[in-house]
Amino acid sequence: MTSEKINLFLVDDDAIFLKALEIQFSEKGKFYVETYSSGELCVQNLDRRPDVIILDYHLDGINKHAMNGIETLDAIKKFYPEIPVVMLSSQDRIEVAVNCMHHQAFDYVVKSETSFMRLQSIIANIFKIQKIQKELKWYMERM
Amino acid sequence: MKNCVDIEILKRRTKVNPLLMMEMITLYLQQTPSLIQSLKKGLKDNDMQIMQATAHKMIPSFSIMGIQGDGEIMSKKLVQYNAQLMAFDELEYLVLQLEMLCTQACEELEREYDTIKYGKL
Repeated sequence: MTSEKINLFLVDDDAIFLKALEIQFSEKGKFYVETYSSGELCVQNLDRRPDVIILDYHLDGINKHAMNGIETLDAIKKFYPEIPVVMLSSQDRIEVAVNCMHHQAFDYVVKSETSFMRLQSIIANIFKIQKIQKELKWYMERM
Repeated sequence: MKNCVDIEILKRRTKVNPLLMMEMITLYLQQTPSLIQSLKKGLKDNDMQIMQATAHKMIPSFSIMGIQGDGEIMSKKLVQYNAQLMAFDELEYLVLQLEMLCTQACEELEREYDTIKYGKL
């Protein structure tokens, strides 16, 4: 986390959903939001070190040659395994969620009217867990 | 014909920020015609994968832009299309209905854009 703001990457090839989500996060004031319309662009900009990435599962729906969500997730985890990635999809199929978790996604959210609330709560949990892990490490080093 | 766009939803979403409203409308007007073309091409080429992927991509836009009617339900039907459960002419009809709804939404949103642009919001 740089300064006080959370650096958030939003990745979706649906420009309307992306903008709607960007508006909601930007309103909160505590997020510095960067949006990307493809997995390739997200991966190219990973050196900007986002604190959290929100990634669409279906990035190759229309452009069959584009990286899909899982390929993007794998690329993120290969270079920066510590960055938490939350997957998003319009599909509420359990196998999609399980697949995301197998590829080390932090969580999975179905696109709906309440997805912003869910994402906010997940991001809060990410930082709670990171804080606990940091404290645990501090104690472990002194044992 | 009854309006299909409830502009109050976009106003709420953008906190009546005219620039954000115009930006959202522009994105819809840019994205939707190409999605409709992709849907029709998928149908014409019998490429159900592209048709279903396109319909899938359209789902969130109905609630975000405040488009009333069965757009979301129709898109979900296309996503779940199964040749054994739905006749091809029924599928064609569904695509046509979706095209009509989106075309009407584009026309209404274009008018809303002008209203906002010329300060009549």
